[in-house]
Amino acid sequence: MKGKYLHINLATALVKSLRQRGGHVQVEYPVRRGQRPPAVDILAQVAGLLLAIEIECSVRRIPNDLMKVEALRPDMGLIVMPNARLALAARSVVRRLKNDYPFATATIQVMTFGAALQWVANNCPVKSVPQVAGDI
Amino acid sequence: MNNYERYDKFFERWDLARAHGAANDRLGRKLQRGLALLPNDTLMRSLAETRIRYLEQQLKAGRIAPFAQARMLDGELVIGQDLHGSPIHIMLDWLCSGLFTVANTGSGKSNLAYWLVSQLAWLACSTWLIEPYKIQFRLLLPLYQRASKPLIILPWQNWRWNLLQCEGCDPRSHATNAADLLVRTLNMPGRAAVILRQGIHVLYTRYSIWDGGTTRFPTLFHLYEWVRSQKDLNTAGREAILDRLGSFLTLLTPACAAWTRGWTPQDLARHSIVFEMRGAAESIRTLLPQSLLFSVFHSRITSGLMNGPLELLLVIDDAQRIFLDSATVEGGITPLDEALGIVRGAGIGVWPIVQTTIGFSRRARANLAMRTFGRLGTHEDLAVMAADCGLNEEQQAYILHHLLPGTFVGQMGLGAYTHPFVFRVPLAKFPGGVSDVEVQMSQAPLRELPTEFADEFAKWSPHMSVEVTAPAKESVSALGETELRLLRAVVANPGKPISFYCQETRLSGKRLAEIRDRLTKQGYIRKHSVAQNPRGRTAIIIEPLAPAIAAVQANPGNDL
Repeated sequence: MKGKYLHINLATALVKSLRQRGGHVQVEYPVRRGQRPPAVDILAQVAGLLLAIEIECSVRRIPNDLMKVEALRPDMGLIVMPNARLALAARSVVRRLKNDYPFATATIQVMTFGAALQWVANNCPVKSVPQVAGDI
Repeated sequence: MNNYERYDKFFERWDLARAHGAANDRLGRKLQRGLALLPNDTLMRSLAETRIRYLEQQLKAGRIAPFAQARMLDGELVIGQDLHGSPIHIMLDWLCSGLFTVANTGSGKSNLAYWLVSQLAWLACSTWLIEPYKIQFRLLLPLYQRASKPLIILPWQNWRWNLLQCEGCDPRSHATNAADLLVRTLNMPGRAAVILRQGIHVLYTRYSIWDGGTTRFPTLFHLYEWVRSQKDLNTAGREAILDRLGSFLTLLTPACAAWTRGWTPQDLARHSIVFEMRGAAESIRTLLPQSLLFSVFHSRITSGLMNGPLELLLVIDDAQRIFLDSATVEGGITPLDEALGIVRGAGIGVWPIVQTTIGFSRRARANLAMRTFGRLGTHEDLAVMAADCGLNEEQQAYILHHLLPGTFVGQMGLGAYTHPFVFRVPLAKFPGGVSDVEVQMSQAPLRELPTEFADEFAKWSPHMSVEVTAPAKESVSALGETELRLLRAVVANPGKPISFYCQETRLSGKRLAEIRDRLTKQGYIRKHSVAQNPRGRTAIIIEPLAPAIAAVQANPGNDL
């Protein structure tokens, strides 16, 4: 996985949480074909949703994240920031770029790391038995 | 027989036909023997006449070269095939008298060299192949390996070279010739030669060379430093030496030329070596091979000329620059030209391969007894080589249009047959390429030779340099026991909030926060503010940095 210490730590914790809930998780998923395509940090298929998750430690790369979500067209884009101060700044950046990326800004949610973990816990139920159609 | 010959010139015509291979097969040989016994036999004459007429017709039509078939049937080496496909042999020892090849680009000179050198792999003779531009002779390595004979591939950067090393030859003549070589190659004024000779003399005294010292020799770097230290020398000569020798030594690098004891020509002569000069500056490309040839010639001459068998063949591809038609500083004959004339008895063969005779030393050409030439580009070359090889007008007209790539005209100054002849060289094919690892491994025999590097010139520069270093930093031992306890806990469990480490280190939160801030300032750890829960205050998690890991490794403890 790319990034520095904090980025890797947060991404690892999120991947672990998603996999525990039976999600199909891909890390550093490229948004298009080519030699060096941009990639989202986590692409997860969980609870019938396709999630594109980006972990950011500053607001500098938020426009890139919006571009990636615009390209991938997931059900939901999630930008995870380490703390509330950065999350607030990120939300304002997303709002500012509403006209440039209409789909992404409508789909994307900005959360702190704790809130993202909580969201995953709330929206993705733990599956211990596979759901198989048939007689009960 | 004589009466008949007087009228019909039958035997003259038969001799001409024989020169073109009419008596090479079984019937031809029988006819030759029969006509010698019964010259007037009608049947044999008519049979011979058939062959003579056929060859005369072919000659008139221009389908047969106007060259007699070379009668060179004995010798260790095959130089090529004649136009009828028969091999032409030369003796190995003939190469002591020198071989000269001239042909323009793409006419098969290198192929001819491969062809002869590949045969030398199986003979008791070392070969030095000097390549100023290409790196093709290294392809001979698998062939030599098959012949169980090591072939060393030596790029010029790996050479341990010392121009002033005069082991095995007279220091006086060596000093004079080395100074002359430097002045001619680096285009210095005449006064510089005198200064250089004086410098070499002083350095030889300092290194006890005049007293017979043969273990350590001054290098060109010592010579440069001596000239720099002598402020009262002739200014023009001194400045010229400092400029030109300085830039030359910068190009050459100390790794190549700062050896107080380098490889001697006597040591090198025991091995077959490919000297690759690719990528070298022009001055290096000229000076290094010339100094090598000059040293090896003089060491052989000093050890005595005995007319022995060939021990070393020097193949010099693109030799135009090495055998330049130039004079010494005083206007005399160059040492190389002079040496070339007397090395014949020393068991050394020289084979310069050039593209044109224009600018090639005429003195050198005079001492190369065997000559071959292929397709030539100028009338001057053609006239010179035709005259040197003794071609008649008909032969000159033929070669003007018939020398295809791989076809050469040869004339040997030795042996019983000294007429010019035409020969073809088969196209040599070599398996695959040679990797850099194989090149490095091939140099193993040379690395075992005794050498000594001049360490004082390891970081030499023509300009004075001063090395400024900062005082050594304080060691990590300034850390106290409590700091180390926190660092050990952080390295063992990274990325946890401070409350976790309170339990681990059994320290209070306030005290730990102080230590944390101090270690953050010192660059041991980094703090990150992360909201680990959806509500409440953000946690400060700690990332251990490389100094912290090093400090813990240096002070391992088991108090946790």
